[in-house]
Amino acid sequence: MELLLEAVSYSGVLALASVGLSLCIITTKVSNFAHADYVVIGAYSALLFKAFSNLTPYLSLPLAALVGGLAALLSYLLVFELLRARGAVTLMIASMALDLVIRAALQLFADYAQSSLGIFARGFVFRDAAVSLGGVKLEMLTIAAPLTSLSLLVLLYLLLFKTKLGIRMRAVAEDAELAEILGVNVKRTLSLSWFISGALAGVAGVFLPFRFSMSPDSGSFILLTLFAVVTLGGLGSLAGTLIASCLMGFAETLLVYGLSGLGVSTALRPLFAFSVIIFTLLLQPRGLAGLWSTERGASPWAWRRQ
Amino acid sequence: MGLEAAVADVCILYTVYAILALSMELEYGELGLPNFAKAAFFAVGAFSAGALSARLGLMLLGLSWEGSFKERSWYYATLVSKEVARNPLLGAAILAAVLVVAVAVAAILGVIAAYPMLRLREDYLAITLIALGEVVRVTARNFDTIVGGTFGAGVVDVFAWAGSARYFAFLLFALGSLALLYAAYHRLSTSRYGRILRSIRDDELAALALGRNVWKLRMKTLALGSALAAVAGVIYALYMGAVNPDDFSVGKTFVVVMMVVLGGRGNPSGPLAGAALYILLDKILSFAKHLVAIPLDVNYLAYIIFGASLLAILRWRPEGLIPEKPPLTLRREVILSYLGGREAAEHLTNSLYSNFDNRRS
Amino acid sequence: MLLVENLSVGYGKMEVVHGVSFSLSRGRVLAIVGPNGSGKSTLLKGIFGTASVLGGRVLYDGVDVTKAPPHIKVSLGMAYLPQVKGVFEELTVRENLELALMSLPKDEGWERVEEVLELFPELKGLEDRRARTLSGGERQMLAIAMSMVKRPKLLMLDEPTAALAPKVASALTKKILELRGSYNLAVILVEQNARLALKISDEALLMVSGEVKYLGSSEELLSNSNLAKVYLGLSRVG
Repeated sequence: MELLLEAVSYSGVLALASVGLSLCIITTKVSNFAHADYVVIGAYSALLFKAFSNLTPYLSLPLAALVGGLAALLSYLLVFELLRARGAVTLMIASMALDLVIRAALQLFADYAQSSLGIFARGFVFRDAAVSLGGVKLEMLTIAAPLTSLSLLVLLYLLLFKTKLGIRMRAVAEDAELAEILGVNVKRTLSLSWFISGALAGVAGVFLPFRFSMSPDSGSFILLTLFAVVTLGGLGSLAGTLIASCLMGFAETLLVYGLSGLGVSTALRPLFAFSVIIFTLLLQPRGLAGLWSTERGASPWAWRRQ
Repeated sequence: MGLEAAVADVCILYTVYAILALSMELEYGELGLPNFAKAAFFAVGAFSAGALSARLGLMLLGLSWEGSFKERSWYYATLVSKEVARNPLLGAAILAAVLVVAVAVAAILGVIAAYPMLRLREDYLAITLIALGEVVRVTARNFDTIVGGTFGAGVVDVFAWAGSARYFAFLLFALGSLALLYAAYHRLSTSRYGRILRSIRDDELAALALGRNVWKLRMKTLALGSALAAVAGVIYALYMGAVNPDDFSVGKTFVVVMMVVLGGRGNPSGPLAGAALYILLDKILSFAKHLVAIPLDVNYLAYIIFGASLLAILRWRPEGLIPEKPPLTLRREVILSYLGGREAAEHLTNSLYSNFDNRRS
Repeated sequence: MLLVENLSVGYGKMEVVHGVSFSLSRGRVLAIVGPNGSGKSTLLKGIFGTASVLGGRVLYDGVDVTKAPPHIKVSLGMAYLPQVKGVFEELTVRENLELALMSLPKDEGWERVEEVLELFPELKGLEDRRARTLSGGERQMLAIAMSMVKRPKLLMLDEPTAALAPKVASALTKKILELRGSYNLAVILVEQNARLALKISDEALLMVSGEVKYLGSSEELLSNSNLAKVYLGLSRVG
């Protein structure tokens, strides 16, 4: 039962982070290798909040969202917007460079926090509060995480499909040039998309330290899982990403639980993500989204056939 | 370190990076596909040296290994090195064997890894290759028999017979390898093979239409690039005298990509320039660290500077330091595409082929 | 209202359109025809601003708009329908129209999708269908509706009848003429289907290899067997 709740929480957190990534991929056609860093930035925001206010990190959610969103926004404005006309490979390398820079900056920040502010900033975790619900003792995380994820994702859905802004975002995602011809301010719309995806990642980052030890480098770990989710869900499909994050969240939680019983190192976690990617690409390259839609979404298999 | 040794150190390191950059240039510059598992192939070379040198040495000496690899590799490596000091042939034999194994394994691994992955879209290819690199590293880290896990492995000093001129001997070997490889690369690049590769890079569909077996060419190139990286790994491991899995992380791959972009894509001299720039920057930074007491960790600062310069280069001088020279035979379309960019070329292609297809999509 | 003077357009440094001049008044339809690759689409893009202008001027109601970015031109009353893709396939018809309505200044033009649909009865009943599911003709109709939303004075269409069945194509052109009549639009029509274009237009511009080979009445071009035959492949004229 506890395991089930764990899986749900993890899936929720995963969903927040990967939907953000998916959003960026759909709108700007760039696989942002720095995306996981926004999650880590969110975690550090929560850490700072907790250190300075002595309140529970859960209250730092708005802050983390803001900081994460800003980080993503700056990434877009300073890097990806300037390189918009270049090919996919260039954008990818740029995002890797960005990843490098952000992580190094986080490292410097962690050093500073540790030496000057006296905050334990490497390999930190949050301790959770226990809550009593109808006689059952639960950890706060198992309530907060799924609830937050669900509400945010619902809000995102409403934004995208029921508002004028959402129409703009979807139009720009489909064909930025055409949107421009019709008078849409593409730059402004993309800025907003990026901010939102970063904010979602930041929120995810608040929840992670309750379970995982966070360091400036944690991004690389997380990124692989995020990519696995996006691959599994199918490129260009937010719904697919959602479902995939649930699947992977559950699978991974169960797997780790099973493996720890066997005494196998959890350093093999990335191997799981890797296998998911490989198997998806081999068996059903369009991901889950390919199951219900044949027109939409790009195939990760380029048309370069033998 | 004495001045000579310091200079030799920089030079040897340079050759390692230059060869790595050449191997990346082959894949990224000529073929258009960066090999993000580069660190893994680099590692293959280094691990070959690490795993084999001591064991091979012992075998050639007719001795047997006692104890686990992890604990004893350093001891045995030193032992064999002492023997090499007396018997240069032993060193040569070990060197040759290690090179052969490294190249072979890397090439095979390259082909195997390339097979399913050559068909992937760029970002998926990247992520898969990165993951592959990580798998190699993590495996080596956790399975102690390969290179002693986190302990690392000791590597035999194959130039021990040179005594105090060891650095010099190494330098000769390294520079010699670089020169050889560069010459071969240059020839390759300007040959028909090079032109075909670049045509694939620039317009795959056209290349396919012209009957090039794109797939096979890609595989061959990847195998070649992997082998090159492995050679660099061998040199590196032999020089360092030690191998540690954590040295071969994604960061290494990225640094190599950076070298190629900085130095200039599509030009054989580019990687040489790029590697030089990188080492220069690196040394300046560590030098500055001694001069000025910066409260920041220089390593991280270095990464920020590297990342930022790469972004700047991509934005404002994407062709790098040494730009690609246009091909020697110029077709009108190529000239025009240089002048007008993609759209111009597309427009021309449209007008050429539109007789067959009235509706352009 | 539109005066194009010696306009040269190209991509990067490559010039595709060489010094084209013509003028157009409101209520008139100009057809731009010519063989493939002659620069017809490029000319249109140059006027609108999605291709680089390498020389010459574009005067719109007396104002030099040569260097103005597309969205400014849109606010001045220019509408442009690009080749092939003019609608968002993932959005519904309603959403497409709402998008087009969005960037209008507050008190101008229609306020509701419904008003637009009054003008385009062909689209009624399709509001909540994704554009992807529409037929080619319906899509083009939607594209025209989207450009009409801004109450343009000049409508530029790039091969609107491409890949449409003849019956649908003529229905579309009929609609264009209807709109021209109701709103006194100036219309520029780039067309591959020369015969159709020349039939419905008042003036014609024949382009070959980026240059003007003929500028004048469409009827005359249609009946001038030499030009029509050589450049347009029209063997039977008139």
